[in-house]
Amino acid sequence: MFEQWSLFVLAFMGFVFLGFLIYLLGNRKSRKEEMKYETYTCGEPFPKVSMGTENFYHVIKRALGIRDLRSYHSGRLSDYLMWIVIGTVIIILLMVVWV
Amino acid sequence: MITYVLLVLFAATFLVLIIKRDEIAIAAILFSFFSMCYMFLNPEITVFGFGGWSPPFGIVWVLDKLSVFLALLVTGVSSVIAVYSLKYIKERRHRYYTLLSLITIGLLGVSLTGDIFNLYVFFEILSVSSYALVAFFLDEGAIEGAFKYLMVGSVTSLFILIGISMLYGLTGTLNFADLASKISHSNPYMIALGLLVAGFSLKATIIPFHAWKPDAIEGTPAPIGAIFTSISTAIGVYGILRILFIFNLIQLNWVLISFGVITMLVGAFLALVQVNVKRMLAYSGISQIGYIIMVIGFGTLLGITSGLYHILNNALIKTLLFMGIGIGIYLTGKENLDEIGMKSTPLLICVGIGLLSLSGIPPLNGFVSKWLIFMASWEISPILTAIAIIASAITLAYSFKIFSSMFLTTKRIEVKIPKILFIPVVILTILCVLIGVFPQIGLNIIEPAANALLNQNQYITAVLGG
Repeated sequence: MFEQWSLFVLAFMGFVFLGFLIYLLGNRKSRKEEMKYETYTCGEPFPKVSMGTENFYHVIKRALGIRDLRSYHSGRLSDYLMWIVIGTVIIILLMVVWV
Repeated sequence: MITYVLLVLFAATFLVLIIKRDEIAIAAILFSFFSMCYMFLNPEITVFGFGGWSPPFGIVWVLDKLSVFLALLVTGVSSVIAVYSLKYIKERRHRYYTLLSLITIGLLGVSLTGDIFNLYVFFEILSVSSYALVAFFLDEGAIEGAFKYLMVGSVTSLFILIGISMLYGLTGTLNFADLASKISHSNPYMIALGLLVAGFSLKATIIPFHAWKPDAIEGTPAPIGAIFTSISTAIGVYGILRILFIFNLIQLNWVLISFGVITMLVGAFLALVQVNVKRMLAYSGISQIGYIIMVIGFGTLLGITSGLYHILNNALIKTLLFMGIGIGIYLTGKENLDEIGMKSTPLLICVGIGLLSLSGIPPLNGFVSKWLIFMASWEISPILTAIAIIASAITLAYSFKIFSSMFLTTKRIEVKIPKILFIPVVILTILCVLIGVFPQIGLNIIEPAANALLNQNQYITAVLGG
């Protein structure tokens, strides 16, 4: 199954190197754009900012309705117990019907 | 020999409290690991009877390749956690090591026993020590998590006990091999086995039995979180596997595939929205179990091999991540992703490798098992492969969220990592890379276990004879 593995790993490393090379070349160009932008904002230095983890993938969360999925995980013990009982009934029914 | 291993662990449990030397527990757990390495080298199925009673009347230990693989994983992960905890746990350490030895006994006993009631006894040892470990910090979150786990755990333990009682009432035996030869597929048997599967699904954290896990892990010490997401779930999956294969219930394949797909996707999506790093890893663990359940449902050799390989890799990766990120929690005292930023290149490399491996990026061990999973699912349906790839992409997305919050944020603090915390993390990182570059190492362990699972007649013959 893994006869070609070393070859694959080498090829992958090659692709990573190629990607790194493209990144370096692309970075040169973006630095120039950054310079232009600095001039446009009268040379004021940009403050360093970091994004809060709540805002990560915000659009994906909204688009896929993950917030609704999260709201079911209410932290209430009675809900968890109900899910377990429902899950057990489903498993038993499927085993009785399917096998 | 297995009886002596368990006796040494039991003795260590009490000696730690009496002599107040944590090293006793560490030595006992390391001894159990090396004993399991020795037992793994034995090519035959070994059956040990208790007190001179022969099966099916006496309690037996059955060491086939599958159970020894699980025992090796349990003792290996417990060993690195025992060393790591020496620094991580600051107070009431003797009690902690007593509980760590007990949880190892429980996990080891469940994986090696050939008697279904003995399995229940070890399952309870595992559960009770788990509840105590979740509550170990005794703060509000820990008590709440432990109470929820205790309640849901008690309900499913009851299901298992009722299932065992029904099987004993119907067949008059408790020996796994003897049960396999006496069982039929009529309704009372299916109800009993269904209760057993439901009970093990809680430990395996298959949806909808998963909800206790993030709450429990949020309150627990990080190394114990590693046990819950790696070997404790592996033991749950092992219980389901034993029941399905020894009692020939593999007709349930589409049921397993459906549960697996739901668990894989819901776990991944919920991991994506978490802010607490331990909760995120808990949901990630649920998602990875989804992959394993799905491929085991295929029932093919490739499916079983990829599932067992993913159990191995998930155990290594999750232990690495919990311990690596645990260093951040230890040094900053925070668990929120926004608050654990730190400047440490060695830790960045180790956690980075763990996260890339979790996402299935080559040439790391996570890629090997995910590649096998994709191949196995392609044989059944390309749609399942597509779903697995989507779940993998979501894994990469939340892995980046952890990496960015820890190492790329502007709010990073200078840290000095204690060596005793870092050495186990480095060992696991090396293993992740080594298995990724030389996947045959993992396959040499997994293939005999997969063959043992598919050839249950060998197990039954070894226990009952001729």
